[in-house]
Amino acid sequence: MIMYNKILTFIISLVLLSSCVENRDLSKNTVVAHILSNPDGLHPYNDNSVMRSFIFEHTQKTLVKLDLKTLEYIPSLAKSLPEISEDGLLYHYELRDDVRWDDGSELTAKDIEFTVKLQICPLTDNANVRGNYSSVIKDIILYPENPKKFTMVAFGKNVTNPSIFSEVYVQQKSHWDPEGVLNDLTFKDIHSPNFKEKKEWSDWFNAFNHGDNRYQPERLVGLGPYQISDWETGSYIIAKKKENWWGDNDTLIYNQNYPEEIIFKIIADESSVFLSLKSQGLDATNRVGTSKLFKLQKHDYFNDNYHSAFLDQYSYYYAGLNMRPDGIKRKEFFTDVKVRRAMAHLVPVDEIIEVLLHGQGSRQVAQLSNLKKNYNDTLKLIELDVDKAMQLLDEAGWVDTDNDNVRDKMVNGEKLQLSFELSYMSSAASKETALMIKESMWRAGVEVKPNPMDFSLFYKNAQEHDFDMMLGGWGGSASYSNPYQLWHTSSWANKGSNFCGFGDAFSDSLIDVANAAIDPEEHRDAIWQLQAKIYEDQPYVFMYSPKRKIAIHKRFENADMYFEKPGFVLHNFLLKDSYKNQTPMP
Amino acid sequence: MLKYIAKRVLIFIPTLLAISLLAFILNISAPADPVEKLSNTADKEGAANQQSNASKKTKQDLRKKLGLDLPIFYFSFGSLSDCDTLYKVADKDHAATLSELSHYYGNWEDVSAYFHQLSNVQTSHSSLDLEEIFMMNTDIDSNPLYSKNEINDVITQSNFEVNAMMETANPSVLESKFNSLDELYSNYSFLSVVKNEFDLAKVSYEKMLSQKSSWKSYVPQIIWYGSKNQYHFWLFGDGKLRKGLVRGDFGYSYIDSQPINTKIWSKVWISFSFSILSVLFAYIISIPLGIYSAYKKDSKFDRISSIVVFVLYSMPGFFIGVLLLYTFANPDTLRWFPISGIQDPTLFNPDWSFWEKTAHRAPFFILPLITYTYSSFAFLSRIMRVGVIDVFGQDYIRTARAKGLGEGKVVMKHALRNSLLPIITVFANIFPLAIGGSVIIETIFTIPGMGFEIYNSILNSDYPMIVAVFTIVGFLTMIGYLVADVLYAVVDPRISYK
Repeated sequence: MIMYNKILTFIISLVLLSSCVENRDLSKNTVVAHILSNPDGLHPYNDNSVMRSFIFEHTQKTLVKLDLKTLEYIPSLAKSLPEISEDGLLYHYELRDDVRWDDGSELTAKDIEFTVKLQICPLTDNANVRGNYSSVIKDIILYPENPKKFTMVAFGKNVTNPSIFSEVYVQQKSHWDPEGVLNDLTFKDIHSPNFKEKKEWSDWFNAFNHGDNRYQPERLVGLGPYQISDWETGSYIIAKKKENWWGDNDTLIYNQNYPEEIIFKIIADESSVFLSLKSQGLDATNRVGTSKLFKLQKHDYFNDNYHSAFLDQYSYYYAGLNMRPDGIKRKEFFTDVKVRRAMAHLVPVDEIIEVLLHGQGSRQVAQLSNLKKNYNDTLKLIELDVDKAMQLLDEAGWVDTDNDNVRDKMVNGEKLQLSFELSYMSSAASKETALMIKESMWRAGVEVKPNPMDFSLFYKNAQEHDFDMMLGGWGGSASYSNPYQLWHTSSWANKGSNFCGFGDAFSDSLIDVANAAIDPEEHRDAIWQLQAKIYEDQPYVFMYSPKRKIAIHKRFENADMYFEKPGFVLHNFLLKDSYKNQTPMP
Repeated sequence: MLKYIAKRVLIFIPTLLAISLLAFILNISAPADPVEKLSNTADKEGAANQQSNASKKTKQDLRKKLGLDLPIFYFSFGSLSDCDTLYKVADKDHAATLSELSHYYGNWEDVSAYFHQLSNVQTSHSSLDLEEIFMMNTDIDSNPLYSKNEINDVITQSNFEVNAMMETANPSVLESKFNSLDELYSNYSFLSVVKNEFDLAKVSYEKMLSQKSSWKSYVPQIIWYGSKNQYHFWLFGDGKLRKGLVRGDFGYSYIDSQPINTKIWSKVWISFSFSILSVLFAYIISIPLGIYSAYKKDSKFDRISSIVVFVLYSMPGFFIGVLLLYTFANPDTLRWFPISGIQDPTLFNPDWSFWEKTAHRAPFFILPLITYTYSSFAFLSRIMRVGVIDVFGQDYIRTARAKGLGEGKVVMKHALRNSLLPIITVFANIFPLAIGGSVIIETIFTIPGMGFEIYNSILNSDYPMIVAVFTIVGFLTMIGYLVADVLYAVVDPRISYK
């Protein structure tokens, strides 16, 4: 009897426990999208996280936008792309007539002027991106006879001028500054090197920069089809579809608003994402692990419920070589281009892709992804070739004179061994990469000493050129990447992101031409030549671009996937009729 | 007893001030610079911000805005060679170089003049125009004296060397750089504008060397800054936005400009709940386990339970956490508990009552709670076991048994109370742990607690947050020890604070 009671108690406990989890109702017109972490805020200017940009796709609008299909810029709030003056300094825009703020008032050019002032004013807390805009936009000219028209005056000709507004989220002047405190703040004041802030401006900006404007849902207003309704910090953000939104009848896919609600659910751990997909707890993710997605794809229940794919993207990883060491702290290992090319022949990139990424990565030959239209396809991949590497090292004078299997050379009267540090940010993947490089290079008599460190120290050393070889990576997108920051010689001298010391007058002139060229052919030619120059000089051993892993639930139509992040358009997801009447899944 | 408690509470105040000051100074002195982090361009390829004097000005403005352009404290201890306005130097590396130079040479005025002149050398590079230099060095037959590449290389090299000189105080390195730049400027006449400034810098350098008075580094001095310092503003407010710690305002986060109070209080309840529940379950399981192990010392139960708790103790938290997920939140095995978070966004209603919210959240807490708690079993149960074994050997236990009392009464009434003292000591630690959280467990289960928040603050040098947490943890530690002391007196009547 006692035994029977114990068994009964156990079974009842199991039943109770098994009812701890409620099954998701898949007939609800709600999209649950996965994000990796909490955005630092959703302020229209003062945050720069990837999560923020992703969420702003649904709640904010810009004048122009990058079309994910064609990868060309298309008008969004503007009627058309800007008319450009012959000198390339004036950009004429006209706004759409049908755009309305949430209070019903029309979008006007005054809102654009206000938006730009905030974007470039030194009093806004956006120091890390302000320079991108303040160096381009000189002034905004309004036309009293037409409140929809305005002209952007640029400081100089630059290929990015027509698309400068693609990441400037338009804000409502009457909402933020109903009393017109900033009316007398001019662009001349803003650009003045001796900018003097008035007390009323300071007070206004202190209130504007306050954390509440980053987190309080009711303050996070925009022209997009969705409004943030709930934000549980660290857990999820809910965006609700707006009633009577101005773009309800628009046919552009970026103006669709099919889901009633979009929930951005934060899941930091890879295993949790894996289990969430297994239990259909997510509708869309672009952050699932490679091996996890492979495991899922082996099961019918996953493939029956999800579209999934590995897609190319624009970010890449590289091994950087210090081309201009000081000769004291860092020795002259890589000053000779033959040595750098030898290193490229010794890094086992294909093996790294196979082992670490399970084959889900693409080789990269220069700084531009082969997805971009100006990619120089005449450049050939540098294959793993130990013999070729040894020959190049011999030619460069690196020979093993003392039979210790490490090559050496007399440099500045001193015998120097080809034994150097490989610095990288501590992570399992980087460690594996470093060890594979070490093993491969040893075959050619090159000694590599892996040197892991935390991000802050790694970045500091990179900026101060205090490294021999380093493993790094850059993000990217389909939009034009200004090569100045990474490849101009001044970016090396001033401790910018040209860590390796690449460049000379010729490459600098190519960068200047590429940036200033409004003519597409001239621009393309300069970019092609720059790629060739970087390929020849080999400041980096370009390694690979990891593929983006995307999974989208099959209960939605329009589940298209794109190379450009985020990889899908959530508000275009249309719930299939077959799911609308479904009962909760077992 | 009340008098004792009051006395202890009064001691809190100077102790807290000391803790907060220590936290403040340690943070500000740490190598990382929040201004660098906040003003860095996005590190994606092609972020267009040009490295120029514009970004230096941006950093200066940012430093002023955050109040980091003020001295740290009311005064500082230094030597006669120290400058009292070094805190105004925006660039931390330059400030460090200046400090080193002034210590080495002792004459701050000469050091300052030298460094100022080096800045002029640096600035003079901006007047060099590649095209102009190329044209000026091309003869009438269009034969250039220098190629553009050569000109560019020389200018870049010069710029870099001068920048490097501004970040080193090492005399031999400086000597070597002066010599190499001398040679460079003599070989390339187009660098004359830079050379002029460089020659003045050399003169300043030589003056600094000749007037070296390093004895000043051995004469101490106290540099007084007055109340316009970072600590004062942090404690009492700046009369503008910040009210100061004394009025319960911890300031604003550098990361997202949110009030620190809001950030902490929105998350601390989660970490606190986990801590309290974890301690409760740990004690509920460990105390009886420890008592029974002691009672059945060296029996099969004692040996097996010891092995089990030590095996559990040896397994890392991230391993157990993931194992629990794959076992109890997996549709392929047992789907008993939710996978992540503390509530389901598709079901949760913010207008629910407290009990409805608790009932909804309870299943989300189970797996993280187990992960949080299991490692305490070994430690607590062993302490309990040792304490009870020790007490069992006492005469009064033998007397109790001799009197004919049942084993239950002997253990629970006589032995238990006397073996609780070590347990109470451990209990004091739950207070600071309440705010600590656990980064690993919060990441695995996506719990929005304090652990990850603190980790993020440290990575981003969010001084206000770090100092606030440091101070609160110090305060809670003192509370914990006070509670422990009071409980000692409650449990053991031999302990008195009169």
